[in-house]
Amino acid sequence: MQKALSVKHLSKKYGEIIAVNNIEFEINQNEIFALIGSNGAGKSTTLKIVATVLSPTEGTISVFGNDLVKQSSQIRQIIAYLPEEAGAYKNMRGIDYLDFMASLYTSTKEERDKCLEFAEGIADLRERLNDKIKTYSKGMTRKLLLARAVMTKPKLAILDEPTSGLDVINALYIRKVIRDLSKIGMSVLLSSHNMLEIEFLSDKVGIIDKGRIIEIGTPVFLKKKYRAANLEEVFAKITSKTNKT
Amino acid sequence: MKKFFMLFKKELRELLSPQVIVPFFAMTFLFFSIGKFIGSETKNQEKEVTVAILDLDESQTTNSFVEIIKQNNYKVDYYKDAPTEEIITQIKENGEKFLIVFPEATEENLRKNKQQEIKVYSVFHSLSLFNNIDSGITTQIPAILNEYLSSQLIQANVSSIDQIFLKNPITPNNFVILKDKITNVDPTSIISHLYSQTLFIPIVLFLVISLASQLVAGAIATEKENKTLETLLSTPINRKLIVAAKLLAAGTVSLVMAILYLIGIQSYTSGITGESQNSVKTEGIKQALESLNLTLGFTDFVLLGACLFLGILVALSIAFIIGSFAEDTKSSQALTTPLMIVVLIPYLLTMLFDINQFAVPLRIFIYAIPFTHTFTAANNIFLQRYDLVIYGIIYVLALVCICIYFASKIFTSEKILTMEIGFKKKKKENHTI
Ligand SMILES: Nc1ncnc2c1ncn2[C@@H]1O[C@H](COP(=O)(O)OP(=O)(O)OP(=O)(O)O)[C@@H](O)[C@H]1O
Ligand SMILES: [Mg+2]
Repeated sequence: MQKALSVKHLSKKYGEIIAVNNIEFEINQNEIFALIGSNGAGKSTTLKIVATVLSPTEGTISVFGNDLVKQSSQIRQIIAYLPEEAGAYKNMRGIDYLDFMASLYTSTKEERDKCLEFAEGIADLRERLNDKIKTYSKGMTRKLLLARAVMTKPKLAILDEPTSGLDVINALYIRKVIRDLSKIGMSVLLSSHNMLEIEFLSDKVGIIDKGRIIEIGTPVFLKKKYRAANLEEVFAKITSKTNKT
Repeated sequence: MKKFFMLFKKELRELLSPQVIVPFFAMTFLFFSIGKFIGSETKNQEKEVTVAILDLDESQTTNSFVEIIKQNNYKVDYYKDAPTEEIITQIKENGEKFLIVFPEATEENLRKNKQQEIKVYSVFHSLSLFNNIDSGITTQIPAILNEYLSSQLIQANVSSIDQIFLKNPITPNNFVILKDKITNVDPTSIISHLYSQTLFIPIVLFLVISLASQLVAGAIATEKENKTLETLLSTPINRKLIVAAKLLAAGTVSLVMAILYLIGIQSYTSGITGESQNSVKTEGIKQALESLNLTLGFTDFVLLGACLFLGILVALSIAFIIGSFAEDTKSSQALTTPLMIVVLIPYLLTMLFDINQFAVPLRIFIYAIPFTHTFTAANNIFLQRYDLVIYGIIYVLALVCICIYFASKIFTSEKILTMEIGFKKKKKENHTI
């Protein structure tokens, strides 16, 4: 089957800084793939490149068979990107924001209304959607942005720390949304610091450190390999090992 | 105290970011060099005023007139025994601005206590303010002569003199010369009329340009600050459309604001001058303007419109590029300040001086500023210097194309996100890695 995402020899430099150093991974369709790593490891950089916001310094990436550099406009039609710490236009009402973003992806009113309906269900904000975004709490904004990201039913969703800064209930809710969507055909590339979340959520995990991917596998496989009780221990063992060498 | 000092240091460091420092030095440098240039130019233009006099009477009285004019610190260029037209051509070539003609029989008429008309010609070499600021001479010189004559008459104690003659033995008849046109009108009224009209264009233009630039730079900075830009860039919308939408929106908003300003200013000034009362007078001026070719035809309007539009467009696209460097709204404001100054310079210079009389290097410098062409457009069209207008349009159009090209280049690449003026930060990060 065609891969949802295939990343080969990807490197990214910001001037002199090598943020991502020759990484490789693949995501199958309907799979949730999580990049985990410490701060500054290169997770967000990788996600931004896949989201066509930054361009790779080296390497090839294909999204559902489309080349990231040459066919970026086709790719933008089938992906959705939720940046870390993203905001929305503060003076818009939630509903107008969704409507505006939907109009960028669709050409007919029917399609747009479909997106909106779907987004309203996911945002879970009810009548607050009619308020200006600047009156929203952090969690409410995050839910609005997630709803906007998935409302176009993207084939690949790129979610940078989707639950960061959220309370337990809201984080659970968002995880459930992501799981449900993957069941109905969405592939997901996400990043996180929360190992427990990753263990529950993802089918496959890539551990990234200082711009390099040092381990890839299912949570079960990784726990077995490193004889650890949970992913947190796996992560600690791997990073301490690489730091020693 | 130490804690306060630490806080103070932190605040200073925040304020003295490169986004603030770079524009500041750019501005200071600009002001410094412009100040120097203007200083030397005003000296050039402040030479004592020369008045050409054509004496067709060649009498004792007219000779004493010349002496009195000289005593009042005017330089006199004395002509006699020549046709007026010839002298007019002559002073136009010399770049002189005033010609006073004492007709034949001046002395005789004054002896007979008859009011004597003298002809006062003002040559408009340009329409700038400083160039025509001494146009008051056309009333000053007759006043000086009248004062002299009146005091003589009073001394002579002639009782039977008509009061009107006593007050104004001499009456000036004013003519304005512009290019090859001559018309019988008071130059001060032409100037004040021109300025009540053409002053608005630059003011509005200045407002539009500065507003629009700040809006467009701020719009990008806000997107960066709120992190909405990354989301927008990942959508399938063509990025050139984003650029166009931003430029157009800022242009529209600033245009609307400028029009509102304009309405405000106009109602304010007409409230002061009470225009409606002078409708008879303005009718006369209108005719004079027409005979001087100081009205705009259809092609003139098209040219003027093109110049204004291009001026706004070039400002917008430069501001767009500047805005791409800013990482937040604070730095975008600081970064657009130098642009404002660059707009301000031609705004003031073209209003006050005739740029075409400046020394060549300064002229090149000023014409290299694209906004100069926008501000000079109206005057150059009035004076039928169409070559300057056309060159201006071509130059600014080329600049607009280049700027928009770079703006969309920045926006369609990742530079919009990674480009910043922040050398210091990057170096620090280098050390830690
Ligand atoms: N615009 C930029 N300019 C220069 N360097 C950058 C830029 N963005 C990121 N970097 C550098 O790239 C490296 C990777 O950053 P990245 O944001 O990808 O990390 P991350 O894994 O997402 O970290 P976090 O968990 O803190 O979000 C870091 O060293 C960072 O300093
Ligand atoms: Mg990150």
